[in-house]
Amino acid sequence: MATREAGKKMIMLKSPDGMEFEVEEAVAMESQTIRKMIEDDCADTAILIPNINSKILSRVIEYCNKHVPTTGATGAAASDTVAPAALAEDLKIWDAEFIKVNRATRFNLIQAASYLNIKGLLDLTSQTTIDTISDNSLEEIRSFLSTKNDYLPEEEQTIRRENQWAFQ
Amino acid sequence: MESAGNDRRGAALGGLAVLPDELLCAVVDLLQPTDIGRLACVSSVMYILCNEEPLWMSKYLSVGGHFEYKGSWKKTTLSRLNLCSENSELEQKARHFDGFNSLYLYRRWYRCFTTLSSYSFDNGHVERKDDLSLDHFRSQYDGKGPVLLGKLAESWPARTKWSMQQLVHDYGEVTFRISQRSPKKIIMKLKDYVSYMELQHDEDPLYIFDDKFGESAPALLEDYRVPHLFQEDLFDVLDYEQRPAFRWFIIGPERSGASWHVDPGLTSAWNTLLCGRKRWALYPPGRVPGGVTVHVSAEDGDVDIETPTSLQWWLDIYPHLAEHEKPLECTQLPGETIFVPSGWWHCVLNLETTVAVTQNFVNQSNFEHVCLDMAPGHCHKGVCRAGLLAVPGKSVRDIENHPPGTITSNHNDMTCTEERLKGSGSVRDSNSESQCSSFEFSDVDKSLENQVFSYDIGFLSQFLEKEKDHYTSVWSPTNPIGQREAREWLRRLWVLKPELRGLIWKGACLAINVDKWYACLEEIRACHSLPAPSEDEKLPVGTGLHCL
Repeated sequence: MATREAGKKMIMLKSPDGMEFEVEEAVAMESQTIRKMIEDDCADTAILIPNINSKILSRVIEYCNKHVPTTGATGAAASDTVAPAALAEDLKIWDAEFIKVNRATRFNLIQAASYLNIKGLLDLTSQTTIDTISDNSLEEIRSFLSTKNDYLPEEEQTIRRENQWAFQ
Repeated sequence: MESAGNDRRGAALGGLAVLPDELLCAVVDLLQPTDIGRLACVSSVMYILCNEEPLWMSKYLSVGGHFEYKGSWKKTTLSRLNLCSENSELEQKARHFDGFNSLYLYRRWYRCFTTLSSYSFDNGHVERKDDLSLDHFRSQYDGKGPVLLGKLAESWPARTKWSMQQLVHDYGEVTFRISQRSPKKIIMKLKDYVSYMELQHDEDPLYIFDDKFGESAPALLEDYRVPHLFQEDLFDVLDYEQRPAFRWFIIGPERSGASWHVDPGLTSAWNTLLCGRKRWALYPPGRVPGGVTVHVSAEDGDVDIETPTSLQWWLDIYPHLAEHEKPLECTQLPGETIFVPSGWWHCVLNLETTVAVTQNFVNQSNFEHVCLDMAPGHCHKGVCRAGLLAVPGKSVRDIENHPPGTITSNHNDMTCTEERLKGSGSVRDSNSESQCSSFEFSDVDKSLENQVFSYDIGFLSQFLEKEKDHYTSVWSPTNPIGQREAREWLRRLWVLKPELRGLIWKGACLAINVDKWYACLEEIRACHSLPAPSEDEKLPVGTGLHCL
């Protein structure tokens, strides 16, 4: 296993399209899936992450880098100089920026967060999706999600009637 | 099914189509009920996802409160939230859309509608005994293994009075507590519960699991007697309000049942069945069942079990176990009492509607284990439940004394350190090495090389974190009683049970380091030439007086 700095164990993550990402073990272990692999000694030098392309994987690593507790946190927000509340606020702002991505990327991130079992990222990406559904008109929802209205006209009418309670 | 194809899915889900059905359901579950109702109008597949009964059950359980079932979870939830009037035209006809199928939804549906009447299993590995003397019980079974007892309940009035029909007649208006995996407390009148029970098709149905039935329906207490084998309960010395919950009245339909767990505080239990059959699976202490994960918080020793429901475990995990990985199993019949010793893992599945009563107890056999489990720290709690998997940096997986047919499973999983991030409610495991380094295991490490797990108190107490003292450490929130009550308990035992003082002292050393405090006391006494304490006062568990 490669070491970059003394005491910091590094681990190699590989995407199926052949890219390799060297990350600190602690960062990789933000993913419960990877954490289990490491703990069960299934991960020797490199871990192949199936179904997650390099573009998405790099974003996931970016997220984990930011969210790994104390050590390894990127940027200037060292935890011992900033109050926890301020740190949380900073993370929130960072998350809001992070999730400003197009729809396809967001859904891919949900999938990746689910597969890699990264609760924070899954919550963030799911919540953002939920926000596009809440309090929007049907047409807006369809357009956000690129969903086709596949109801027959009379079918749609009955279903609208049945769900009238949701529009009051 | 395959021929119908899945051509509807892509267009009807749009961008969301990349997500697997399980994840889609999880995302929809985050929505408010009105948003779910509107999403159902977007497209056919959305409609299907938004009308799943498990979704509405989960929505209801997040609200909680007084529960009256309206025939479906969707109706129940909408009426609870006043989103539709009692007689609104919520009556929707069952709708079918060609061109969509989902293995995930189908499997879930299958679990909800599967019937278990022929799912009983008994290979006789759990012994059946009709007459057992106390001596025989103590020497052969107590603290050693489970046993089914045939005749203990023969003379109970409950044998005739606890039929569903009679119970509804006698207690229909009485409110009982409902157990479910939800943070919200749910209570129900028995008659409402029974109508729910008869109508529902839930995968994990609500069941009555009430520890306060002695207060809400005191007459039930007259219908059974604590069997002579289990009369000793050292928690008896505490007042009723102080003692931990110890008796439960249980009613549950087919498919319900407690998922894998170890009884609270390492107490032992007996459970007598009056109606129906219960299928049991058991593993000895330290043998985490396949598919189950134990989390013990390094912060406060809080024990959290991550497990599938009983039904899911039997359907999805059990069939994949090799013969030697299988648990001890039996099917408990009406009138039978099962004894579950301290620390044993168990899981129950009701094969039809069941009525049972159960009590947990501390006796001389498990007293030291119960005391050990109260001690601050987390590693001993992990070892008592997950064996040597809970020892950091150890991958020793041999377990001694397992009964025939059980041996270490490959699915075992024990996370010994866990950090709970307060407030957010999210749970994140932290690096086990960094967490565990704060404790010194070097003294036990060497001796462990050649050791195998044993539920012997001498073995288990090696994992106490000796530098932690209970006055300054966090008292685990999952302990059956509070810190003050624990001291009071030991004090009362000391005074009221002089014949057990040897044992009580040992337990008190494990739970609250009385030996250390006594040594301090002796030193002070010698310094000031104070008189020796009387025998009754010897146990240093005062409210600060002794400990200065």
